[in-house]
Amino acid sequence: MGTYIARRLLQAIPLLLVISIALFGLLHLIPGGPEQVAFSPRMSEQARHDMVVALGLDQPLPIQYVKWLWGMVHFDFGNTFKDGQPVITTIGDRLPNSLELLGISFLVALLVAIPLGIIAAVKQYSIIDYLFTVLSYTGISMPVFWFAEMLVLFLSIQHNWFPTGDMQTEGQPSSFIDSVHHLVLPVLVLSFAFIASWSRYLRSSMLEVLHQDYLRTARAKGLRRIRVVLKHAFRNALIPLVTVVALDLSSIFGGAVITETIFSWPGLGRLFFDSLESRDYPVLMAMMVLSAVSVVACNIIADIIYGFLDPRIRYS
Amino acid sequence: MNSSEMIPSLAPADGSPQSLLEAQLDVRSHTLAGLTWQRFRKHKLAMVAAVLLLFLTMSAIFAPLLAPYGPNAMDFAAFNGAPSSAHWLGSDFSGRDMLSRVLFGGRISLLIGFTSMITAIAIGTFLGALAGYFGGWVDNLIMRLTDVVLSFPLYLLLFVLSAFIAGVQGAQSILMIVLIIMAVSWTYIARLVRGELLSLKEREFIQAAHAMGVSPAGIILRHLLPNAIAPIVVNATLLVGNNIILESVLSFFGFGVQPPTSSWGSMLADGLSSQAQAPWETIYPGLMILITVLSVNLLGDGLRDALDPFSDRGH
Repeated sequence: MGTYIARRLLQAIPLLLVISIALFGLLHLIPGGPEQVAFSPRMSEQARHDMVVALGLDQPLPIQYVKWLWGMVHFDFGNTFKDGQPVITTIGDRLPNSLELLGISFLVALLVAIPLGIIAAVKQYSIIDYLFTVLSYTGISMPVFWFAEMLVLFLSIQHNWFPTGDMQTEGQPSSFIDSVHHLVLPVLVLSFAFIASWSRYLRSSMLEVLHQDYLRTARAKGLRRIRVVLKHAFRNALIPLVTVVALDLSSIFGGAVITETIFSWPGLGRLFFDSLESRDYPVLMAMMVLSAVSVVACNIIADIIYGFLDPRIRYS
Repeated sequence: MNSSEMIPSLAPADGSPQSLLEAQLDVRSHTLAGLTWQRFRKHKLAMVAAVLLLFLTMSAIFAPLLAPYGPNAMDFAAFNGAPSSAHWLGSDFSGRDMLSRVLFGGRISLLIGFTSMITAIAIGTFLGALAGYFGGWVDNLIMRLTDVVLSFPLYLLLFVLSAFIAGVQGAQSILMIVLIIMAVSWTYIARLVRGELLSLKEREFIQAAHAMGVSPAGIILRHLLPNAIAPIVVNATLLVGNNIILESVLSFFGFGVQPPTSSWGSMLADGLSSQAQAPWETIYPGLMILITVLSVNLLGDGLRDALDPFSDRGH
């Protein structure tokens, strides 16, 4: 296992290098490069030139790339165009907000998806199962942003039950109740998508396990059905789900771009969207690289957990 | 298909032993399409979805004939007008008829959904076939390329790519969107085709084709890909739904089709500002996306079951 992990980590290095080159090139190909967008149009020609030199934008692209990469290895992602703050600080400021939103959504989604998946599999072809299938199909087929808009329309605009956005009411001392109140809609939107996909995974992997011989044996031994389902079947059916959840975890650095933007949630997704609008390249590049790193890392972690949980898998 | 069931209907009137034997052996040739159709027909939900999808496609194609008004014709008597006999689905903030706009918007959404699917399948199948057939460094190169694309969260990549759209107008913006959606959606099909070809190319009939001197292109096109067609068709179907959603997200955030052209996604964005007074401006376009994508997904599911005779539908 140790050598396997080491090999995977070593393999990740060239992949990340290629990713960083692709990303750097891509962002510099976008029409309206940093030097046209980042500065105020009222700036004098001289001031603009000084700025370009100060940011190192006058140097050839390969040199800019190497400098950028070298800084990144030292966790120096440069400064934002917007306010000159170190990018790492800006990201650090937003990270807790995204973690809060995503963490709670993950938790809610797990708490709903697991029982739902189990019940739908055990009660196959029952009313609950059909209802569940319809709901999960709807969940998968619905654009997330539209679901969010409909919630805002019916629950915030027409009934004023929940705020339309932000993390807390402006001008009020922050309170726990107020924070929860602001969390409800974004968490509902985010967890709905996770529930739809996770519970379907669990349902099909449960069905696969439920038809296996060792479960019949367990029943024949006289074990209670609920015990067989929860202890013998569920534990094995959980293995594929763990992988899916681990991969979904990697979305943290991307934040929940859509949900955060719609609910003006000051997290990483919103930061990304705003930075894209203002072409804040240092922020965009840092976020893309960090999210790529987290995807690669979560892939490795998912494989390791998989090998750990399923002794039939042997990595060599 | 159980051949014993076939006897009554196929037993010829003359009852000669020869034709009776033929009937029992059920010597009619079955094409893949024929078998698939027989199984697909039994899948009621998928049948409904297929009919619905046909209806939606037809209404998009014939939008100019069906729509009561032009998509951009303004009715100055009805700004944000509620659904009425003049405007069945209401009218938007500049008095444009929602029903007509939904019909015309569907053309753009479906057009982008289908064309981006076709291009993604083409490029994915091409690269997957190269990787699976030739193996070695070709395989390595192509698979690392998919790794790179898959290493970014989908929407981040989508949004960054769509920054290229800024300033592009009209039909060109549609072409750009198709290319962008293709760029993020070819990877799955490439991996799938590669996997299929890896196992297929070891089979005897491929070795026989080699021995007869068939060229690599001939082997891939005539012998390998036709045997991998089932999963490709299923995923192509599901991809249409996926891509319609991706387009709507792009347009919703202002990176997609540019006015005056509009798709369901950009109609949603337009309606947002008057959401409080005129909720129909955001309800109907979204509902259309939901119905379309739901039908596509159900159709894909039905096709999956129909094309794979060994699938016992885990549900």
